[in-house]
Amino acid sequence: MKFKRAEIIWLVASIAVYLFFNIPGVPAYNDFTGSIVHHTIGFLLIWVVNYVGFHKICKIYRARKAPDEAESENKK
Amino acid sequence: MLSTTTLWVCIITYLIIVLGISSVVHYIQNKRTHGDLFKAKLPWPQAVMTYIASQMSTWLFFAGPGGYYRGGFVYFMAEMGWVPMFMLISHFVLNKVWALNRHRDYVTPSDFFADRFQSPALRAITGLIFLASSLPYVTSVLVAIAQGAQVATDGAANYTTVCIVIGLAMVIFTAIGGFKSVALTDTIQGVIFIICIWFIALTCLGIGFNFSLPTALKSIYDNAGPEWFSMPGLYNWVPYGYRFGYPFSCMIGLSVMVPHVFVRCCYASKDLDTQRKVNKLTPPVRLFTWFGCLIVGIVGIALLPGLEKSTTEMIIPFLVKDIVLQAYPALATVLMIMFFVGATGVGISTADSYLLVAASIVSDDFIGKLFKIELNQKKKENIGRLVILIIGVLSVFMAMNPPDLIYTLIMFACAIVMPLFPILVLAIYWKRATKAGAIAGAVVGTILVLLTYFVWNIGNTWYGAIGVLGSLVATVVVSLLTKDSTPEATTDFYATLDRGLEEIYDVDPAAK
Repeated sequence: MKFKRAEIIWLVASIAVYLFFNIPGVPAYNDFTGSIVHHTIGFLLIWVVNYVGFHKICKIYRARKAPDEAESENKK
Repeated sequence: MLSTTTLWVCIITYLIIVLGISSVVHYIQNKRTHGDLFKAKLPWPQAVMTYIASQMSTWLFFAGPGGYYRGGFVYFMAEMGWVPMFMLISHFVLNKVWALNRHRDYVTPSDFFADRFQSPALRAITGLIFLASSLPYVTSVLVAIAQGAQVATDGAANYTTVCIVIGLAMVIFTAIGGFKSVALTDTIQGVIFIICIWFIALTCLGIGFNFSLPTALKSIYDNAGPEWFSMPGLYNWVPYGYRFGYPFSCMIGLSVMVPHVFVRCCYASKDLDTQRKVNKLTPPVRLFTWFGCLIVGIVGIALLPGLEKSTTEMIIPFLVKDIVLQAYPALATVLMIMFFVGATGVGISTADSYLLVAASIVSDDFIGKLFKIELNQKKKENIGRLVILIIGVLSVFMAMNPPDLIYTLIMFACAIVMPLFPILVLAIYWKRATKAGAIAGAVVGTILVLLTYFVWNIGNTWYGAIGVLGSLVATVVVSLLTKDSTPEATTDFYATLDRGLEEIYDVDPAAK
């Protein structure tokens, strides 16, 4: 199984963002502003990176149509 | 608040409806295809909703709102941080198992491990681990429903009676229906219960804060304290270790490895489009649903701060009794019925999924493949039904002595299966992984999870995270020290996997 470059970028970016979001020690205990900022940015990054990555991967790895399905599309 | 008569009428009406659906699906399935009790190929709406509903469980009405009450904003964000990672795990791991399964026709989660490593011992070990996760999960449902019944009736309902009746109902429903009917009722109930949680959340928000979420949040800041918005939270519930261990355990345990979820996200989709819809639609559906729970938690802590930790999971009935009842008594009764029937339904739906997969593990993995006893489909299903009954009875007994929090039971069920995840990944990507390595990984990982919980007493911080690390190291080290005893089977496994992927993917030739 060989990976495409987009897959590797997606994998590395997602893990990096996930670690940034969940790494122990950040933000400091009882830091109200730090908590709001860290979690809001982290939340947005994780969702955006995962959806953009998944969308790109689905374009590279298109679902192969079953032979009868492809045939009926060709007829159209 | 509710009389015991009302409570039993609600339970019986609900049970008649689901048993009716179950019987109809069972009849149609048998008439058309002589369908299998343990497997089905689902279209996308069912595949998406049964995946979500199988995880709602007691979370939706109990553990979730209670968790957000205690853990606050950080706890919710910790959860929503792992949710979209499901797409990544799906593409790199789950969809590959799904592609392989088109040729292998797996039934139980252990089938995959036993196939890759050609090991009856690994089948037995993984089967036992998956079974071990069933009991606490099913128990959590009984505990939640029985406790909910007590709160809803001001203590009039008998805890033991509710446990026994609900346990019996689960057993009958699962034994009659099978996978297809469980998936169908999951879909219907899933939609209804999402509506229920949002109705309850918006009603409480409307009565308490005139539908203004910012006002509710300001009230928390002013009255309960700003600690609710930061770590470690008002109840010291989210320290740094937990902030890492909890989302990691949910991402691996809850969303992939618990057995009833595993069969849904790896085996159940009817085609790749369905599989991908499960991958991309479940995160926003989960975000939407869990946000409803968060609103209940927010309104709860804003209006009723200072609850004891062990009572926070009953925040919905407390809100209904203490807040809604004063303003709108009739609406309070409707909400309480909605809460109780919703809690019963969503709990039973998850427990059924669990019971079904546990039954398939015993009848397929142990009796059929491990002890090699030839059984026809009918006998296999009857043994499965017997297993469903035994686990149901054991869960009722366990529910008689519940822990402080329902949450604890759910998370232990997730933690115990987590060490199998590194073996799953290595099985797909590392040809050098051996049978001995996989067995060592499963055993070491499980022992570490048990030590985390029962010896080191840090289970409620790290859950299965230490077990995952131990399993990864043990699998790699022992694999490097041993040789593959069935190289031909390994070659065949990877050839089938490659063929499976070629059949489902039309790869863009321009992509590097």
